[in-house]
Amino acid sequence: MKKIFFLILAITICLTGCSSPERKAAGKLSVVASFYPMAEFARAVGGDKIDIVTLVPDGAEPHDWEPSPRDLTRLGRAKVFVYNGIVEPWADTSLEALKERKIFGVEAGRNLFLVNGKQDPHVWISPRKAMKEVQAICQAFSEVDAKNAATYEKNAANYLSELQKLDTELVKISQAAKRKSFVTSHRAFGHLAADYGLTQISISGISPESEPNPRDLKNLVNLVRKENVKYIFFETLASPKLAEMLAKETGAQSAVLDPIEGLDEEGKKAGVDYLKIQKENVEALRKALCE
Amino acid sequence: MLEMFEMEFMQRAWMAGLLMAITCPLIGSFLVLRRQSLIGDGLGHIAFAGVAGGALVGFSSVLSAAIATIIGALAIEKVRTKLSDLADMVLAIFFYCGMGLAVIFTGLNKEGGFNLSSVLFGSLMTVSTQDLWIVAALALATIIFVIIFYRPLQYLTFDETSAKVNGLPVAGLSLLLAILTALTIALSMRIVGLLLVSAMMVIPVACALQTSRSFATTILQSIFYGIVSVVFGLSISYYANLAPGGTIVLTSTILFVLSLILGKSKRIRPAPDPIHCKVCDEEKEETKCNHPDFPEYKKGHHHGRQERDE
Repeated sequence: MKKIFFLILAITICLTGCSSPERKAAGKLSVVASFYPMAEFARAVGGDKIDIVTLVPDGAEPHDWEPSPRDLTRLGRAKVFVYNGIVEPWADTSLEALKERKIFGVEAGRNLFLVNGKQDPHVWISPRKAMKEVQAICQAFSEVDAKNAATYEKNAANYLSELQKLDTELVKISQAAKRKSFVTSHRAFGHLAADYGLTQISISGISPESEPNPRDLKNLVNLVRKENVKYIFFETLASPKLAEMLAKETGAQSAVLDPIEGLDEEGKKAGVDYLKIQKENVEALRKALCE
Repeated sequence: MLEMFEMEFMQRAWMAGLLMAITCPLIGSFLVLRRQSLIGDGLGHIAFAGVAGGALVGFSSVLSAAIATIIGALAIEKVRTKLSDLADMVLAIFFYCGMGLAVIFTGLNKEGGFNLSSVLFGSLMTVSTQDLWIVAALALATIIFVIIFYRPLQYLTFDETSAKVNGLPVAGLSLLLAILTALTIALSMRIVGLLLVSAMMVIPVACALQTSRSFATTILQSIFYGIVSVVFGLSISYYANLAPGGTIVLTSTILFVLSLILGKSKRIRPAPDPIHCKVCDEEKEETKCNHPDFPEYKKGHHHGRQERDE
């Protein structure tokens, strides 16, 4: 008994010795964002007035991710929590667990999710709805940190004009389009399609994991032939196998259309960001729809 | 201050964990010595069926789990007194029955609305203040119950038959213990998870049995081991970013191995079941008959157990 007691005491001393709380920058508004696009929008609005941490690591699916006690502690230190909504089922329970901290939660996509009678969380992919998210973030920052409100509004206006350019491009593409349909590997582009009068045909469902059955695939091949689709899109994080198979079967080409759920290592090194990916997406859509 | 205690949710997790470390070994001490170590699992799966059934008819999950486990505990107690030497088999049957019901209820429920892993592993991170009050009330009730009924409970645990002969309300006390066990499981499961509740009822007690000499010290030491497991388990979980339920249970398992190696050889344990020697055709208290032609032995009928030094 005594031996065990001393052993436990010794380990306790070791354990309590190795803890070091993180330091944070003073005087800045501390912001936590759920995943990449939210962090990007918050950074665009906040500029150097905020100190930002992203919870979901790059390359992880925000839907399957769960915060650890340490992540919750990091979130608890923040003043504002920016999240999209629906994609992060853990956001509300986390805020509930930290209710004493009175964190200002910004569900940037609130009231934007409904498309064609269905809830679709992928609002950030449509530049038009991304603008609404940026405005919501700007409003929240100005409310919490009123003395920097002018800066936030100026930054937001700059970023909104960039998004506006994307919007204009997409409207032009939609007007010049020879065909209105495009094929994607998973149903992430519903908002983009709806906002610009296009039709999305998806190989699998809302979630990237669900596999289509053979009959659906056969219908899809017929549809692609009928609509005379030239490009089959796949995304970066999911397997391109199905899209490539379909492309081969129908004689179309396969190309990347990125739903921007996170950046990969290569992209981060190359300095890729939301706007750059969106420009590539716009070009890909132009090729697919107007050629 | 330590980073770990900075946030209120961690403070609540600590409080809930430490309260569990008192309640579970306290009840578990009686259960383990009565050879009902697996009752936590058995009742837990019945509670699981209760939660699934409650979700189906739109009933509060806490209430439906409590009702299901209490009915289950009373039924187990009833069957156990009938088949007293097959207590583990009885538990196994209830365990499977609970699982079967739970699977059917979950399958019938098209809307979903309840999460299997949250039932099995709980969510220590999202313990609310109300949850804490429930766990605290449970701990208090258990402590009062054990203090008031300590002597009769001790008698009942070691020698049920002679307790009965001496006029103790054995059936009533057993029922009370069963109901308290059921409530502990039903109420704590949602907060800390079934794994943690049932493991904390057994493993700290197993450690204490290796290092203590009397029943009273077994109880106190099992609470000590429970607290140590929670302290280390939660700290490791926080700094190594691992699931708290798992680290707490594994810490207590490591404590058990340590107590096996370092513990004294003198310890209390239930007396072995008496045997029935076929050769002399009589009951023996020993595990072996001294008869020279002793060919085999089988379990005789139950004589009860007594506290004894080896």
